[in-house]
Amino acid sequence: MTGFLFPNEGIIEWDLLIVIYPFITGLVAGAFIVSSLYHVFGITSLKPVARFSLITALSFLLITPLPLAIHLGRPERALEMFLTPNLNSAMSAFGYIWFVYLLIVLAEVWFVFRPDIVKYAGSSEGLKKTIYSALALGVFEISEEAQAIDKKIVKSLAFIGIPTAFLLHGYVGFIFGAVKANPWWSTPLMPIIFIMSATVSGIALLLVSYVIMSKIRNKPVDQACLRSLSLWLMGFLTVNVVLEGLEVFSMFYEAEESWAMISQLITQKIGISYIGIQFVSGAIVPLLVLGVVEAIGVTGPAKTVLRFMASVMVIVGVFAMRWNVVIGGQLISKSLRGFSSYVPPILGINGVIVSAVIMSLPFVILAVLLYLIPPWQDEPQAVRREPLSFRTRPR
Amino acid sequence: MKISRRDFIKLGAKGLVGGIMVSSLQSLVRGFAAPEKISGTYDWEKHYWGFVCDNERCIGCGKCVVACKLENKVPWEPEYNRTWVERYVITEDDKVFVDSPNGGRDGFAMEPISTKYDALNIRKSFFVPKLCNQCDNPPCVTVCPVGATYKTRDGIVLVDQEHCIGCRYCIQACPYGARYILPDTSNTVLGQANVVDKCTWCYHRITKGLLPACVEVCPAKARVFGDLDDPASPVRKILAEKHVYGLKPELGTEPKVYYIGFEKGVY
Amino acid sequence: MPHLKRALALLLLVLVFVFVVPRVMPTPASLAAFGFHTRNAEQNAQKWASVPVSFVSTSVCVDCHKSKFTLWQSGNHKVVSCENCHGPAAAHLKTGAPEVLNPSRDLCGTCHARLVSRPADFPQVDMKTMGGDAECITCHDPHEPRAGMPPQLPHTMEGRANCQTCHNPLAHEPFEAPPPQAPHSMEGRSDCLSCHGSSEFRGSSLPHVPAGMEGNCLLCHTAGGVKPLPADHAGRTSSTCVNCHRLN
Repeated sequence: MTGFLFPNEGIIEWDLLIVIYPFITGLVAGAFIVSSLYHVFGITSLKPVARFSLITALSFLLITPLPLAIHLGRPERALEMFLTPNLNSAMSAFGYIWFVYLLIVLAEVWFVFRPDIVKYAGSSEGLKKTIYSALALGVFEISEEAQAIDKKIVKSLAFIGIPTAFLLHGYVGFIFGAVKANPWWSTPLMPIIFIMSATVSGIALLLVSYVIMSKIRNKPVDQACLRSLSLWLMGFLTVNVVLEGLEVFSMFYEAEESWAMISQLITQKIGISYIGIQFVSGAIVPLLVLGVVEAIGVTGPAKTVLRFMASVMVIVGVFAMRWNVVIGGQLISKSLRGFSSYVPPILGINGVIVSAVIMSLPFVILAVLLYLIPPWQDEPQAVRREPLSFRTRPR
Repeated sequence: MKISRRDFIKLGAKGLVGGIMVSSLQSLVRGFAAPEKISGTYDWEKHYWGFVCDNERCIGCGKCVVACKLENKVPWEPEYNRTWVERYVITEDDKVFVDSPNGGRDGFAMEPISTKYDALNIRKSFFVPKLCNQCDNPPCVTVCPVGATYKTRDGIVLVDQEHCIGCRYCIQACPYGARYILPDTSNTVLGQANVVDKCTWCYHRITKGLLPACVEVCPAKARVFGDLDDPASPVRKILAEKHVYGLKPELGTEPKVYYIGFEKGVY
Repeated sequence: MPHLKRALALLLLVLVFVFVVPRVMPTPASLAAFGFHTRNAEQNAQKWASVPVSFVSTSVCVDCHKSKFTLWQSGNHKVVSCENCHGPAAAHLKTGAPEVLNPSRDLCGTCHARLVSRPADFPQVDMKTMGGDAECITCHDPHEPRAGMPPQLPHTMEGRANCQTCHNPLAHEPFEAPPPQAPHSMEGRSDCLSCHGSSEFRGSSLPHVPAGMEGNCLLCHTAGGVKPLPADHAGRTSSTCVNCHRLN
């Protein structure tokens, strides 16, 4: 702590749990966008990951409320946001938007995977048969007609899912952007920046997960798909960098009173995290790497490895961005005369360990879903038993 | 063939009617209770409270901070303050130093606090008392997701601590640092913990015709409390005679604590 | 399509469960009042208004502590509420147990220690030199602190560095007798210096004002002159006058 803080600012209120929340919702939005790029806009190069990205989005979406509920001072009253909301508050929108989006994603997953579920219901026994039958809602018709209707419904759901996904992450940006008391947060660009970095993080996560899953399943990576992901990543990343850069450049150019504090914040207090990780290693370097991979004819496994590394850096960069916004904003004292400091504890309900567990839960759910309804649509191959239970089923 | 329109409408209508019937049971079951008025002869429609802090009179004794903590059972630790006192020291070379040791709770007269700036070439130095501004356009009320914080008819912003969920959005939204979250202790005024708390201008005192505790004990007339609706009140008199300002006016919060003794750089 | 019917039915079931059932179920007391919370405003404000007070306000003290109260009302500390030093009185009213107060130098110094941040016209003393280590109440009655103290100065010290210029006309100072009366009325002449200038002004034949005397001229230039120093003040110099004769 340097300079002067208001006495009540001794505690950082929105801590690590609130950093991981927008990170998780961002991954949801980004993964959903990838899925919709195929289902709505027919970008066939993304077909190999379309169904996978859908269940990735679902896995992360189910975990989204968890860090928020844990962070509340009175989590047992959390339902009040649903029952007696103050609709003037951006935060009150959370319950409704999340719920509606959950319905959309659940519905879309169900309609997309219905043929598979019905097939598994037919070909399994005992408990598994019950589970699949329940998932199929007891209806086992997968005629051409039904599938055609399903496809239309999927398209509509994916279509309305896009603005809903934007709403899910945009409202988070608005929560921060509409706080006039905090000069680092208060900007109308915040919802858009959050949405763009969300999309970026989702695409990067999919790229990373797809490569890892291909490795686990011992299948070749579809290079056209990887390239498509890579190009979309570059596109959104460019827009993201421009927006984030514009936000800071505006502050610098207009040089309002708060600029003295903000410039200190981003160059000293969170300098490494902001300039180093968010911008340089999180955006500039990945853009260069991905661009180089496209421009020069890099061949073979090096292409995959470079894209993989670039995506990992992007994901870390987006996490750093969430940190820089949430924690960075609270480091500036409202007296405009000092800075707090924050080091997350290791133990405790708002510690690093709990946050790591929360971050890993979506992958657990993803593993369960991959087991139940594998999204892969490869050419039929001989079944091989893998050490993990990610099996391809004969079609 | 799609689901027939008839079937669809039937299904939808059933669901809708059922939902309406079931949800309207609520009003039969509950029976809205009439809201109770505040006891005694206090009518919150008949007052609109205001506050004046005089930077030219404050002596930094910190008795206001102590009185507030005693009156309102505010935790004694320095991270929890409904009111506090800041000291501003301006040197000849235009540097500004601000501090508020323990919120001013122990005053500024003991060493090392009293001698902290002795080595500097001081041009001007003064104290600024701070508390919740009970804004007329409170950003904290706007952002509460459950509507637990609200503004009363007599102009005070209160927190319904039985419904606060402890999300801390209001703490982020307050430009003046007036709010804090009550730690896990049992000895609070309304018996609640892990909810947000703030200065209430001693609502339990002013509704009985008393002064807020900080105003009551101030020996230097640096804090003045009164009814903005009453032309004879001391606050109205000051507003008529002296030049006053509010903190961070550019944010449009319309604070109701008026400061005498403006100095650039006091936020 | 049967699967669509089923899906829609499931959806409606979920919506009813989420939106309707909680509104009908008996609710725990903590969510007792339904509707937007601001409708609870009057009830909650009533709750806040019902909190018991701890500080009772000074007007209550006189009921028992009559003589102390009268003494306190007559002195400079009448602006300091009883509860400021003695703490909140609500418990004392109930039990009658006396409030324990430690009248240390620190207690008095909380308000009266000389600090550069304090307003110049507030009575402050240098706690390191005034009174040594003794408690302040050795000389000062906390309820009437100026009782038995020397009279306070009726004017500021601006332009009056040397008290003996006016108050000891028999010492080696310019005046050997009380200063003369002003030979003209003061009608329309509120600013003496506008004609008589200061010592730098040489061009006029009007008597000029000596350096350091630019204060309120009328204080000395009236009938009768000023009060000389009392006999027991022998040997005291100007620099120590203000130690006892605090400004009013």
